[in-house]
Amino acid sequence: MLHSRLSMPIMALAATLTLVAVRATPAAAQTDGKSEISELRKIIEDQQKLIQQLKERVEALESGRTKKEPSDELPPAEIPATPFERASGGAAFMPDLAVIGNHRGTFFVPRGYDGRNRFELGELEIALQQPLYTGMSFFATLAAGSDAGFGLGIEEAYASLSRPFKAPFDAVIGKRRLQFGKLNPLHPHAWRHVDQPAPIAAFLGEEGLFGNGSSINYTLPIANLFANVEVGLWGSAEAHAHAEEDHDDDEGHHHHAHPGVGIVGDMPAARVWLSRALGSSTEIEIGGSHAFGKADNGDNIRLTGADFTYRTYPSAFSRLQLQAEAFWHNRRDREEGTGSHTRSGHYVLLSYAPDKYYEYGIRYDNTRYPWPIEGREQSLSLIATQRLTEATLARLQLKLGDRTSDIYLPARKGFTEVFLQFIWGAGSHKHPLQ
Amino acid sequence: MNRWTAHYSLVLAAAGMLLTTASFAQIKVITVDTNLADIARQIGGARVAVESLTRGNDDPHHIDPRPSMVVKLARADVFVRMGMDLDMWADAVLERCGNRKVQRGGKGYADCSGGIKPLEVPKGQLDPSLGDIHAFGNPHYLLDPANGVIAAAAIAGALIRVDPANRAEYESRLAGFRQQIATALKRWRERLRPLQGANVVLYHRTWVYFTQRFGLREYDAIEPKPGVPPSPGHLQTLIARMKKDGVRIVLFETFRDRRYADRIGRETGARLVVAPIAVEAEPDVTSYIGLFDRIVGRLLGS
Repeated sequence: MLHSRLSMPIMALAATLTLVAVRATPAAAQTDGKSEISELRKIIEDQQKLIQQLKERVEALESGRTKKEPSDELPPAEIPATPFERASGGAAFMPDLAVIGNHRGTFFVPRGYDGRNRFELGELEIALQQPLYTGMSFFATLAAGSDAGFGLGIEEAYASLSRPFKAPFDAVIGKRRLQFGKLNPLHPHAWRHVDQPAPIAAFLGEEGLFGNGSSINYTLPIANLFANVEVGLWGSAEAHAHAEEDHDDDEGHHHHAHPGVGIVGDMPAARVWLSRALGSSTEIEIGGSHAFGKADNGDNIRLTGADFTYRTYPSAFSRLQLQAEAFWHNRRDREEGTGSHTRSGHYVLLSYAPDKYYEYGIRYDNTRYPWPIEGREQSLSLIATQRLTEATLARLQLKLGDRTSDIYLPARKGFTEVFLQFIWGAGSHKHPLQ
Repeated sequence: MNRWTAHYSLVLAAAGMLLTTASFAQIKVITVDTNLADIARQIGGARVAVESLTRGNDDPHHIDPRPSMVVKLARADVFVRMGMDLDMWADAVLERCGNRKVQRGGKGYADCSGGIKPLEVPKGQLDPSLGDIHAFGNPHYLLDPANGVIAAAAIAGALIRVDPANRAEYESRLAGFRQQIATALKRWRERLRPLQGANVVLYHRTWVYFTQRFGLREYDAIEPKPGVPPSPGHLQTLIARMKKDGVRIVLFETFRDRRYADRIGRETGARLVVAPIAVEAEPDVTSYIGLFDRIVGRLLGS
């Protein structure tokens, strides 16, 4: 069959070559030159078509895309000798690699805000991951943010170990986004909104809460209930170096107070996470998180979080999710002796994806800032997302509210801000369970 | 009977019950989808208790890993996955489940893509402009029933590693499953003979293994690239080409949005064939073999 399919073009090619050879004789050369040129051009064209057909055929055969005759043949039922077998086709021993670009635009903010009305690259992220050994894998994220002048830094780099040395728990060692609440462990490109919810920016930091250290986690053996406890000892860590840390304002006052947890050095942290499935398509989760440590001036700091999530999947692509988180930040002032100061904030997010391409959300934020920063932000966001592929999306967020501090964005009563986001991704990577 | 005799009798009875329970303790098998769950039931028989992490009508590309899945996997003896990057979401569950037995390379880990001859393995440089493409090739291999046999062998391998004492039973069940598929394959081929060589428009390239096995011709796909929705221009061109070439069948999965297919059907007169791709996607599709019976039936318009 193959022979017969190929024989026609090959025979045509041979016949043409013979014809060309015959025409190339001195006798043939004496005929009218113009018509010969035209004929030869036609032959060349035909031969190019034939060669193209042959190339396509070879390519089809090589790639296995040929239309095989239907067959009743079954493969032998050979039991694989090892559990390692999987389909090959990719490069071996290379970690999974993904590159993600996160572009952001902030519009309708007052003059003077850096980045006003610009749609620019906010962050570039390179994610690497690979299994290392049975029950052991590594994950690393290198990120370059516009706020750090695009200096590439290690945002996360950790190994996760399942039951290391037959211990009855799992472990994580390295630098990572801490499992503190529901949103903090997720990278910004996996959020369902453009900006960080105000209470997270206020109490966990503009880029979230990171730590460098280790943790152990244990899932309690309770039937039909996910009950997980994680305890870790971390050194507080920034996502990556900032271009500017402390700064002087226009009046020459030096600012020490930064939003975020404010802990330097050791930071023990724990999380309890409970989840229960309600049928095959609905899940309800509650969690509690706590971290503590000392500020750079010796003040004692405690940060507590509580979270609630309800999600349901009415069909293959639709999803409804209600998520809420609340935070309490307590700072005991040892330097000035002004006592204990507790500030709190919360957000509630309702999102609905009717199909695989679109998602709509509404989010309410209400927060104060860690003592001694004064001010409050209260806002309502409307969010619309269009997914182009699994990793590429465009998002618009309209935010209305009041802000009486200018920590991240200018303080304004009755502000209206618009955020635009475009995220693209190449390569595959996984996110932690959330 | 004195008091001691009564006590001994009770202790012996309790021990007997425990031993009986232990000898019938089922192997817990967790699979990523309902097709693999049914195949695992066929191979494990009464010795296994099988549960799927997803529903029959879920799109295997779009699964959110959830804590309840961790609970299931934490107690599993065997974990069965499709592989080929289709179920990368399961890695987040594996990482959290604290069960070494089912981790990659563990005794109870089975990646059923081993041994498959993958179709549509991309060559050369890959990039996102190609859509949601799978670097290891088209991962929907279970829609060729012959690949179901290869998956069954991988599952049998995991069961034997976990429960070597019953090797003979698993091997025997594997042979029986292969025979069932061989018999059914002849039946399906015979029924689909009238459609052999027919042009079929797909929604997503989910059906490539099926069409190749049964001699249908994938004419084109509604998605211009995997995972990318069709533009009006693409649909218009596709409709014009279908009319010109007389393409009469549009085949798509039960969970797909019908609006594009409906428009194509209206404008070309092609028959829309909505068929499940997984066991339990429809209430009366309860087995892997039953799944193909349903697909073949739908294609024939019955």
